[in-house]
Parts: sequence; structure tokens; C-alpha cells
Amino acid sequence: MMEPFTIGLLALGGLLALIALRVPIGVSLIAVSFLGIWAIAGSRPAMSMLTTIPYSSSASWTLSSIPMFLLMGYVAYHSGLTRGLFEAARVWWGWMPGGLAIASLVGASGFAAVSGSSVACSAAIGRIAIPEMARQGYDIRIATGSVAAGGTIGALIPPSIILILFGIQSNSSINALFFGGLIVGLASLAFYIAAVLVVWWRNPARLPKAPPYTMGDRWAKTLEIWPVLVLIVAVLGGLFGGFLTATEAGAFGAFVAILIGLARRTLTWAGFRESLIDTLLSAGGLFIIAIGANLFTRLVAMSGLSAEIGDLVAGLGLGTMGLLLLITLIYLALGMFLEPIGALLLTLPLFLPLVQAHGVDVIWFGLLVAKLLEIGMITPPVGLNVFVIHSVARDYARLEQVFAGIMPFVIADLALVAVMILTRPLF
Amino acid sequence: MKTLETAIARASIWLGALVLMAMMLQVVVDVVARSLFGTAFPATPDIVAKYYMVAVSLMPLAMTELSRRLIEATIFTQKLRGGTRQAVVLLGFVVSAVVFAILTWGSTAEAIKQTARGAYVEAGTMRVPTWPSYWILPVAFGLMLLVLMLRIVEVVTGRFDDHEADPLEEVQSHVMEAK
Repeated sequence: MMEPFTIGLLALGGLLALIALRVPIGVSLIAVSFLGIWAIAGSRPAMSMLTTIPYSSSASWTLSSIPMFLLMGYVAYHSGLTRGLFEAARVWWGWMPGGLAIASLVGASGFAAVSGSSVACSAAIGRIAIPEMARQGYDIRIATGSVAAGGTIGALIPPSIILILFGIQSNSSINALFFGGLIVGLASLAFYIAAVLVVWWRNPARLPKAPPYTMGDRWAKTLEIWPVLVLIVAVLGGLFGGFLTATEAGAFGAFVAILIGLARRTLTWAGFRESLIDTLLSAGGLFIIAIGANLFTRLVAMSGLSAEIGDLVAGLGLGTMGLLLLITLIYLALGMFLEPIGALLLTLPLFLPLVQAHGVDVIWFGLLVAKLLEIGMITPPVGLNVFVIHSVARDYARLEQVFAGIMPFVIADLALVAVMILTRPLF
Repeated sequence: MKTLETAIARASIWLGALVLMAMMLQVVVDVVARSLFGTAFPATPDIVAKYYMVAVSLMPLAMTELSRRLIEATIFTQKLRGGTRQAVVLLGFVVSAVVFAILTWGSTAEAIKQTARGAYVEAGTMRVPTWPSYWILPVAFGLMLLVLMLRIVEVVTGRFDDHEADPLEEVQSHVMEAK
């Protein structure tokens, strides 16, 4: 009979091997957890967990906010509610050095408030902003880089799928996470704008000046995006004002988006159907991983894996700061290969008990993890946002150029992560 | 074989879409009723969690595989070609099929048990029966198992088209390939 800890280690190794061999992440988690629990506690507990956990992990009121927010974002996207965002941001921010790049960042942040997905955010803004920047003689690297980076704000500013999943796995308040996400999202925006300014300052020719606008233009363009503003006020106001739970805010937001789309005659039957299908496909890919992660959490607890790793880390004498730096490095490395939701659900069973034992605030940790995973969306070799921007801007840029353009923003991100870690004692 | 795939895809899309709409409408009606008339739609959180959520999170599984949208790490195996690549693809489907076979079997047993008990939840003064919702799992897992077995046959007979999902597809109009 093997030690539970040995079984835990074997399971962890097997899990990584299966994932590397392209077995779907959710399936890998379920298979390894089932075998591991069987080896530790026998067939009956293993079978009983496998029969109860799929139901108990999907039959959740809190989790139901995810399909609702997904639906709201896809309806807003397919009915073109977000189309004017870049234009509106441009008339307000265009006067600044690198104004178009800054406008695409601000536009992406606005889109972020109606969508929980970073990929959708990049694609929506990129399709309009990149051709415009190319026309104005922008360096294509910075043009594509700014949009790919801007998209990552989408997963921080609420609604955020990553933060909802983190909240459920860690039993913490979704509202507190959303509020923190709003702050980290806006801080990311500020750091990205600073990055654009630094690029401009080093070589102004890469970001030529755009023609000026009058105040009349500004109000006209802002009026055009009223549906998005209404949605943002309704959803975030309802959430933070305490009138609506996350699920209610999502359902209400999706409903309002459909009404606006119908009233403006921009939501077609095909667009509506696409929105529903996209929501279902995203949900299908996501919830099977959530089920696997819940099973894996049980295995980690039963095998004492997390306690043993905790002892190991304690033996290294890292202290809280050292532990956080180590975890930061692990997430940056994982982010290079895995997409964020998989990486999040895969690692939380191991990391959460560790950081909680060190007295790290769970909400703060969730924000750090969300930020780190989003950096993975733009780092090579697998940066999903970069791939999306490349497919949107195929006529303008090669993949290497997009990756090169991302560098100033990755540096800005690392600076923000450093600030977060250094100011942690304040939380 | 394509006809069967189309049928599965259509069925799960329609079912999933109807449930998604019902979920949204009931929550909106609940919010409006609560704020205007001070009365809630009865047992909304329970019905949403036990019925709609289980259906929305699990029914699309088969369709997710049909459009190759299950989340997997392709980076380590993307350089493989020929027989080795076929073997990796086959391994993924076989492991998945075994897992979903166990899940189908286990969830059927659980559904039978909950039906025999007549499982319900107390919501205020009323009893909401929940046992029928347990039957969503064996149906969803069973459909997924069926799709995976089709995939295994496809790989073995060399008819499997192994294309990686385009990340842009997630946000762009895409006609279901099975249509």
C-alpha cells in the first residue's frame, strides 16, 4: 500500500503528462482524481464522489452568473452595441501623444464592462482600431500590441469570468472581487497608457499625431454609444448598489442588451442565435473543468499533498514574500502554455491553502492571480489575444510584429504586479 | 455518421438555447416582480441552480466536442505528424470516452437513487422536487460518450479531420461544421 502523499505526487505527475499529451484539461482532472481517490480510499468513496460532485458543482446559484454574463457580452458583441466605443474614445483621447493607441486601450476598457472575455474584447476593438492606426501611419507593432494588451483588461473589469470562478473556488465574495477587479483593471489601463507615452517619448515618429476634434464631435460620438453606457450603469450600478446579485445583474444585462439590439434593429435572428451558441459552447468547455477541479481539490486534501508542499515551502524558509514571488513565477510560466481558466482551476486546489496559511488576503490573491493569468494571454509562445489580433490584422502585421509590439505592455504589467506585491501589507 | 452528429448538435443546441432563455427570463421576472410588487417568482434560485444550471453547464458538452472547443493544451504536441499524432489524438478520445462512460454509469445510478427517494428542496413553504434534474446528467454524459465513440471510429478509419480551433471562432460568426 502506497502512502497517500506518494499517490498524490503520482497523480500530479500523471495530470501534467495527460495535459501535455493533449487530453482535454477537464477530462485529465477527472481521470487522475478518480484513480487517486480510489488508490487512497478504495472504490466506494471514489465512485461516490464521481456520482455526486458533477451535480453539486454545476447546480450552483452563484455559478449561474457565468452563462448570464457570457450571454450579455455575446449579445452586445453580435448586435454591434460596442461598435462606437473606439470612435468615442478616440474623439476624447486623440489629442494625446499616441492618441489612437490610447483610445483603443480606453475603448477596450469600456468593452470590458459589458464582457467577461479578454479575447472578445481584443477582437472587437482590434477590427476597427488597427486599420485606422495603420491608415494614420502608426508603427504596426505598437498598433497591434496596444489592442492585444487592452483586451486583457476585459478579464479584470467586471463582469469577469475568472474572478467569478476564483470567488466560487475560494468561497469569497464575488462583489468584493469585482470591486477589486475594477480597481486593478483601471490601474492596468493607466500603466498601459504610460507604456504608450514612453514609446512615443522614445520615438515620436512611431505614433504620429491625429487630427483634432471639436467638443461637438465629442458629445455626438458619446451620444452614439448610449446603449453601452446604459448597460454599464444598469449592471455595475445594480451590483455595487446591492440591488442585484451577480446572476441577476447578468440576466438583467443580457435582457437589456437584447432589448436595445431589437429597438435599434441591429440584433438579427442570426446574431441572436450566434450569441446563444457561443454562450453554450463557452459554458460547455468551462464547466467540465470546474467539475474536474472540484474532484482534484478532494484528492489534494485526502493525499495531504497541499500540507506536504506547504511544509516543503516552509522548509525553504521563503517567507510570505518569497512564496508570492514563487507563485508569481509559476503563474507566468503556466500562462505561457495554458489558457487562463484551465490554469486557474488547475492550480487553486494547491495554492489556496498555501497562501491562506500565510495569512494572505484571499481577495487580494484572487486579483493577483487574475492579473498574472491575463499576462499569459499576451506572452509567447501561446498568447491567445496575440493570435486573435493577428487573425484580425492579417493584412497589416506578421505574428512576430504583434509579439514585438506587446513588449512595452508586458513590462507595464510586470511593473503593476510589482506594485501589487509591494503594497500587499496595506490590504 | 455525419447525420448522427448533426442530430446530436441540433438537439443539444435547441435544448440548451431554450434553457438559457428560460433562465434569463425567469431571473428578470423575479427581479422585476420583487422590486415592483414585493413578491418573488417562487423558488427562483433553486430552480435556476438545480435545473437550468445543470442543463446549461452539461448539455452543451457533446456540441463542444463536435466543434472541437474543449480546452486542451496543444502546444506540446503540435509539431507531431503522421502516426504519432494520430496516436496522441486517439489517446485523448479513448481517455475521454472511458471517463465519460464511468460518469454516465455513475450519474445514472445516482439519478435512479434520487428518483426512488423523490428528492426535493424546501423553498419557503413549498417543496420543489429536484429528482428529475438528476436525469440531465446521464443524458448529457451519454450524448458526449456517443460523440467520443464516433470520434474514435473516425480516427481509426482515418476520417478524422484534426484541425485546431481558431481562437477567433469564439467571437466570430461560425456555422456549425456538423450542419
